Amino acid sequence: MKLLSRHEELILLTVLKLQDNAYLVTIKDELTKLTEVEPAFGTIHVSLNRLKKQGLINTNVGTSMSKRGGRAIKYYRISKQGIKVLEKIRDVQEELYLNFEKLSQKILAAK
Amino acid sequence: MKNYNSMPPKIGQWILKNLLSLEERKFFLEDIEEAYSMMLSSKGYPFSLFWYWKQLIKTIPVLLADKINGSTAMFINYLKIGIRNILKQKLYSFINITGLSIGLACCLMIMIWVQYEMSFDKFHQNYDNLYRIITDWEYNGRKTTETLNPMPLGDELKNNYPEITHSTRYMEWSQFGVEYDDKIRFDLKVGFVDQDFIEMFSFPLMSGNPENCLLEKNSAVLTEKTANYYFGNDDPIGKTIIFENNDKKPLNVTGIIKDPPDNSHMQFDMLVHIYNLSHSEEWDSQSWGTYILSNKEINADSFEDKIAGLYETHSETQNIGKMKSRLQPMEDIHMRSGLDDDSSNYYMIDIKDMYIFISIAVIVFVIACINFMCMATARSVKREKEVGVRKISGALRSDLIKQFMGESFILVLFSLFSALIIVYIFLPAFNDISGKEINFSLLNKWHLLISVGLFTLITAFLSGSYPALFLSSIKPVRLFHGKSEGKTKGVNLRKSLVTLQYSFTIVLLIASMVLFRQLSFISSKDLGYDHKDIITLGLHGNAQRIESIRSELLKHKNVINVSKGALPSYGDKGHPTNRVDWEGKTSDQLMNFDWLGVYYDYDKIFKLNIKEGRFFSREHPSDTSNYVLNETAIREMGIDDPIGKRFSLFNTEGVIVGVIEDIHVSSLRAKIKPTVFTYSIYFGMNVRIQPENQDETIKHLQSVWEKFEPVEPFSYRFYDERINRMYANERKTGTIIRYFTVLAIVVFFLGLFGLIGFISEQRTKEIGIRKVLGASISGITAMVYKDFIKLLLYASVFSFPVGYYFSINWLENYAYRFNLNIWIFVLTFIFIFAFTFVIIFYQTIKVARLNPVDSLRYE
Repeated sequence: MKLLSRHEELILLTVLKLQDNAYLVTIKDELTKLTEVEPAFGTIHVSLNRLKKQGLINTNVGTSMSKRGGRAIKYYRISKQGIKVLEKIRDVQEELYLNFEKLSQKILAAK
Repeated sequence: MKNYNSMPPKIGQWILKNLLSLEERKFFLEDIEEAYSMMLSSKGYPFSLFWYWKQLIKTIPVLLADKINGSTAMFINYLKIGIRNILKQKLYSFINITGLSIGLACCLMIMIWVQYEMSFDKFHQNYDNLYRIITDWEYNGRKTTETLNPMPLGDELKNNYPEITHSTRYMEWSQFGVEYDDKIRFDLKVGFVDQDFIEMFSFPLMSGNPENCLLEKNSAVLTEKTANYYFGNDDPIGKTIIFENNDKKPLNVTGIIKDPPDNSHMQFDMLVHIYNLSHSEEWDSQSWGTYILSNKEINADSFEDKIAGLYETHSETQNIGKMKSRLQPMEDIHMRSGLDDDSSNYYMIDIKDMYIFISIAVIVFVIACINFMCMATARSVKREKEVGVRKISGALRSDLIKQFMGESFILVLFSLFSALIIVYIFLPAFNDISGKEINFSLLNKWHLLISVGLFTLITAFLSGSYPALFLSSIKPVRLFHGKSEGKTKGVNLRKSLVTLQYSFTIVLLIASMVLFRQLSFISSKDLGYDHKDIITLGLHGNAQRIESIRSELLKHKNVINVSKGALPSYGDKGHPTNRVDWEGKTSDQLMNFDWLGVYYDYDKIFKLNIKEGRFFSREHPSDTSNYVLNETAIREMGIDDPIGKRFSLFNTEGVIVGVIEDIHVSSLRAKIKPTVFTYSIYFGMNVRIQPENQDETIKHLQSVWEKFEPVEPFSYRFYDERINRMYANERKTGTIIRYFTVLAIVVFFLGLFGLIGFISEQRTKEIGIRKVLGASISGITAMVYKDFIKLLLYASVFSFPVGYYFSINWLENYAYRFNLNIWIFVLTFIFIFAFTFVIIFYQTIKVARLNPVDSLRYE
């Protein structure tokens, strides 16, 4: 299985979270809010392109009357495949985080 | 909610726009605009601006990296196609690569050379604040600029002007005997200087005290080479050497200095205090070079005005003419000396010559680039179909531009490598011709490497631009319609480019022919004396010893006469001096004399024609302080009956005993000056021999040498060879220009050969039809001729006046020059015409002789 980079994973999750309202600005804001570090537009853009190439997200150009005076916006939407990948990532993570408390306690206690 | 007047900075948006692909651009920019305006309304202007640029700085590298990553696949494809194309068209690629490598090699070579010449004197730590004083002098309606200053000038400046911290006089002269034990040499270049010299210039002292090694008047500082000659491995410090100048003076060796590097305009073998040359502290004798060092940047102009009154205040006799001293910064000395007499400025080169070389190299290069472009346009017809197919399968115009640029880049890169190899191989030969010590490692400087890189890029861009832009603009519909644009489009451009090439070649050819003619004129010109069959020997000693060597030499029947003396046309003449006086000299008569120290029978050696009186002779013992003058001197002095009149040089009183016809004592660049011959035994020995059996004569000379000079190995020189060196510089220039011209012609005709080949190949069908309709082979060739001869004629109209102008300009450097006539131009024309003729004939006849059946068959 091909793993996504952490950054790509975060973006994919954000796109999922934002549902119908995922485009550059909102993704950036969301990530800033969560990580407290502001990512650059360029990095998000490049990651989105990469995800798109792998077929994990789709794009559609939509208009929104409430934003930008009705001009078109390129929205991103997670694809079925994208969801599958996220599921897999979650499985791997859960597997690894199993017994996290116990194991970390052991290390801390040994100190 | 949004305020769209508040847009982010335009430059930033422009940068982003160019980094993004077409389809991505719009949304990305608008997204960033939105975020920006949101930021603006919540956080205010300065903060959002700061935010924007922070975003940009982070974004640009990411986008850039992404872009490069995405285009490698296409790049590899271009590379592949490019290399295939190069291999497919072997002749075409060969012509292009050869031409470009020759052009690039010329430019590289010149670049390295310019680098070398610019490095002169830069090793001095005080480079920026060192000045040489040069003096304009007006007298007798004649104006000269020389480095000859009054003795006390330097001290005067140093003591009275706080900005001048150091000063030294500097006079470089050979022909003094320097003796230690049994070793004596007369060919050492002796620099006469003051103590400040050591501190001012960065010739590092190896041993000795830099504070006082030249303070004492009887101290001498030797270079490592000289010290090694006299003392070998012994420590020379504290030893005493004998310095011979009219009398013998003991000098203490107080220091060892490093040999002056090649890129120094001062060259010397030892340094002694100026006192040993002259102790006069008069303002009226101007014969001394002066250097000063300032403690800060001084404005040369305003300083010159400050010191303008010096001469009037100090001169006692007030008869020194109009003088004005100027400061010449160190950087001007090597290439922009501009002096009438600058004989102790070693390896001096005129910046004009440099410009000439640079422009010739550039011309060769431009001719090569034009070849490239011409052939690419001519060839474009062949590639139109490829372009059409590419376009139909979806290639954008920018992709095609990239492809063609890439191809030209590959070619240029190939050429650059072969150019580097050429330079590497031919640099020793170039050094040989130019007499320089340039090595390849000079190229190993970052700014030079960067300029080579840039140069290559520009070349690739220039030579690839036309085909790239032109071919990529072809519309596939029209192409497959059967109407090719390529045959008509670009033809005019090609024609004008070929005309340009013709013009360059013609100008170069004229220039090198004029140069060649002038040089052969110089070597065949009657110099007023006979320079054949004279051998010079480095034998020295006092008068008695010389007489006995002489009588020994004369014992052989082939030795006609023996004398000593400064060699004319060789730079042996003394620095021009105004320290002369004569009977009947009026106070407004100021003349600079060339002077030559000679011995008895000098006139017989050089077959000088005596006009009045006699030459120095043994029968008149007082001749040791008498003088012989040339006609020009007598004419300018304005005296009627010169023989027996009182005359003095350097305050040594004597009388004029003879007048000789004018001879050229310096180069043919200069008019003959007033010249005085004075008795001296300190110059080299000159032997006139019979033209026959010279081997036998030389054997005799050797036996005499060995008898009188058992230590030094025998060495001799024919004067002819030495005189040739007088014009060594011109000859070098001439040779280099000749080689460059040959290269330019080769590159040009190579290109023409390729171009005509392409054109006649393209016209195969047309020629076939013409043949079917009854055209003869000669008629067909004439048709192609017409086109090119027309171009040649256009070029001639433009380039002959230009060539004429440059030739006249250059010849003006010479007071004596050959008669420039029309033949040079006619010859040039015939030469180029003939070559064009042969090439066209060869290329067209191939096509013209084809059977129309073959040439008309479809593809």
